[in-house]
Amino acid sequence: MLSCLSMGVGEIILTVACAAIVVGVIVGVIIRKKKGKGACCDECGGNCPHCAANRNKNK
Amino acid sequence: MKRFALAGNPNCGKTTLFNSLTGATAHVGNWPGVTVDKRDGVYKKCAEPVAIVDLPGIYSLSPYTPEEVIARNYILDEKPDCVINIVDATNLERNLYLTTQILEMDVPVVIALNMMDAVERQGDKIDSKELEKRLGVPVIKISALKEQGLAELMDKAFNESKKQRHGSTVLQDTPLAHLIGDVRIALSGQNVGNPLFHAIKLVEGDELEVSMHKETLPMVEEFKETFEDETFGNDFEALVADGRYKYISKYFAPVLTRKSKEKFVSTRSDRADKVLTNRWAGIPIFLVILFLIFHLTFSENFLFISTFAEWAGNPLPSLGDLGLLTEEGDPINYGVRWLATIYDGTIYSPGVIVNNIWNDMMVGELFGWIQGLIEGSGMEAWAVGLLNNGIIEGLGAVLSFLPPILTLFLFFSILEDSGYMARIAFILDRMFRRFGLSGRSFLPMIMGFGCSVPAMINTRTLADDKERTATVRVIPFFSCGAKLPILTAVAGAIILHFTNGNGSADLITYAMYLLGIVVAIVSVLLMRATTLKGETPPFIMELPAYHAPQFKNLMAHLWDKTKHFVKKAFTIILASTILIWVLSHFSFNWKLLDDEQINESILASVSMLFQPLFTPLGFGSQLGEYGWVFVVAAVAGLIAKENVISTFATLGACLMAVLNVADLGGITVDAIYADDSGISAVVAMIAATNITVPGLISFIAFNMTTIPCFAAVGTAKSELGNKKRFNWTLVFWVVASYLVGAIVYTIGSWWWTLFIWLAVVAGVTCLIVLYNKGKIKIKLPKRASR
Amino acid sequence: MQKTLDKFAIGEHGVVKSVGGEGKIKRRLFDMGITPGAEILLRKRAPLGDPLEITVRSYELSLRITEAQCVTLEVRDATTAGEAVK
Repeated sequence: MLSCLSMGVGEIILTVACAAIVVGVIVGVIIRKKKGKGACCDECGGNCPHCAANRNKNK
Repeated sequence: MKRFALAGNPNCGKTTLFNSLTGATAHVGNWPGVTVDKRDGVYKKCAEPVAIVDLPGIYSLSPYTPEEVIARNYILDEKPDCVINIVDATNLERNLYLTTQILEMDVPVVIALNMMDAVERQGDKIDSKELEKRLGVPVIKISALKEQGLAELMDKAFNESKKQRHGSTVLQDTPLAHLIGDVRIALSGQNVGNPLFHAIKLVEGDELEVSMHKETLPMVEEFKETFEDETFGNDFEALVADGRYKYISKYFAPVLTRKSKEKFVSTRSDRADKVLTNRWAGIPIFLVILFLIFHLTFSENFLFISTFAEWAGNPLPSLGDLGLLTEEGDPINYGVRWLATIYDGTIYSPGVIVNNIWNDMMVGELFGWIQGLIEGSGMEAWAVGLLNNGIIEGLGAVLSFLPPILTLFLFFSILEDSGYMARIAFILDRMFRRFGLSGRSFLPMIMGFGCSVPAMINTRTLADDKERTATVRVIPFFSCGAKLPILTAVAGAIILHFTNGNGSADLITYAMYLLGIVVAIVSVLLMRATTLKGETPPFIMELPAYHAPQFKNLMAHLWDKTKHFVKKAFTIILASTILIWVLSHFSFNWKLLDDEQINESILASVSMLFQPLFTPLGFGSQLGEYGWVFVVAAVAGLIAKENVISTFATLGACLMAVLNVADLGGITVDAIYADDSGISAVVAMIAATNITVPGLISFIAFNMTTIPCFAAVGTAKSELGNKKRFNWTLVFWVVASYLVGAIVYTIGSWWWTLFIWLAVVAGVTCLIVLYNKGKIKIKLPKRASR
Repeated sequence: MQKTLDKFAIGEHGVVKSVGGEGKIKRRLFDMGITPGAEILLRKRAPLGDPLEITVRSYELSLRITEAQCVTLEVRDATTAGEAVK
């Protein structure tokens, strides 16, 4: 697939960076879910009593 | 590390103290019960660092609300080294009610007498030394707001934490004293920690206690049988509460000497309140304030000055009329560019001025310059496309909305911090009750105008389960900050493209927000009449005094929000724009496409599959060849609502080079390049699809009412708790948005369909009424319980 | 003269004699300081007459007519306003 794209140095950096961003964000979301942060806002630093995952952890 | 807990009534200044001590920025509101989560921080100015936990504001330690349970369990189970009880000196007696309960636990306690500045301002005096003697624990005067007395407080707390303390009670003079003593001894015998506290709660018949100490319960029951008090019979709960207040009135209240012998003094806050929550003027004043907020944020016709000028026969000259523009319509020099942010034949409102400065003078400049660099860099065409059209246009469109989002947020924060919001709940309660909610639901709903996530979290102040569910479900209808770009851009598109510059931006935006509110009301009515029927819960709520919002707090809120927004933009939205660009530039066999071939891309093909679904809503198959972008935008909106606009911007920018002037409804390609905010690309994209105005409005309505972003969905799931309720909530959102979109589109396009809809509504209403009267039974398939 | 809180006129005040109501409501009223012996002043009514705003133990509280009906008070007139709180 990439063979039909001509790539110089700049293009390679760009592709790598974009891939890294996309993968990074997806992975970040998954990690947060596993750690129990759920989909809450970050305001409480992940240790909120209202997050369902934390509820199970505490009680 | 030692751990101190901050406990106290709502609105006693706990969180302000927490912020001062830890330097963290927690949200500080003036509504009862806003701080519903624990905040952790570290205080570094003691001999060693101390962890501080801000417990939820509570009036008592009985387990009737989640906040009370959280606070109580924290002190009992986590065993902090010291509890700092913040007492609001301006209403001493009620605050001390909680104090008497905390003192019954075996934990070191220090009292922080807060708001002393307000007390002194009223001319009253509190003898804190005497109070200290009578309570038996240290009492330190502080002003959390002015940051006075804090060091002394923390040092005292630190010293106390080294000692052991045993619980003491004020109930020793009551008829229950002996029983309490006996139960305490029994519990101590079982090696129960905090025996005094548990003993008293058990005697009260507290539910948590009863389930935890079943063996000791018979002792209490036996006593109850033979006991009879003249006022309370054998209602032990009442006896205990009464005993506490009697003691407080007799021994603690006297430490306060009032300046005026009058029992009910009218403060400055009371006088302000007389006007603002006036029986007749209250609601009109509120509506005006709301309108003002929108006017100050969005209006391009500030104070309607230019309209008045026209009426007076003396219209204000535009910049062109004044000879300040070049032939192409650009400002002739840098100075005029600055002028253009404030005035151009009309005076812009502060919100719009800030917006103009941000976009035309700052971000727009920067991004335009970067785009130029990239174009000239000699990189491959596709790379330039990805960077300039995909990332920069997409991200730029979203970032361009930071000013109005912040402005709105600022105004709502002011309303919240000043205490006005609680008063509005008071005014609106009766009206809300007609819909089956209480005035307390108003608070989370208004928060929804900022962000659905904290709004849903705040529904915890609603004790009634069904009321909570109904409120959580309609919160997304109060268009959050992320939906604002959709509203503004589309309103802008309508004006630019369809009405030839007529119409005012703020009115359209105001109207669309109102639409959300109307849908919310209708939904609640429906829900309360059918699946979520129940009684309206009690409404006993403190009305805190008004006070001028602290500048520092407001700035802290704003900074918080900005950080959030920028972080979201450069992670989730950035990733989304990249994905969208990639998917729109590759066909299924992974061939790289040019911008013109976008209709052959993966993105387009998949979207076209779903397009027909949206035909009744006006943005489905009836659109031109680029119509599928609406599907993409709506789906991208699930990740973050800002994506709806960034999607249009990204795709629009790609197509710019391809479409000629005629397709863009009069917007020239040059104009698009010149407009650095990226909104023109959005408008061009929309225009290129041949959508009609009713279809556009339907699209907005659809986005306002459909499934919110993943973060909000996740929050709804954890707040509702019940999986079944949650699934129905998703269904509700889909159905609601589809219906609303269809109604708007059909009525907007063919006005006579209004009658068909009315007939449907009448029919459904009859069915509901008959169902409620029991005349119709609906047989639902039996489900296994969860 | 005794009457329930909901029947008070704006500006009238009295001393609480008894608090009724169903468990949760009574509990909440107590927690907020409405106990026998407490002094209450009716500050205002919302548009449409409901809820009421009262001053009790130096702060403002709002409650509905149905909740106010649970509180019975002994009315005090202006001449006794100077009495110290018990």
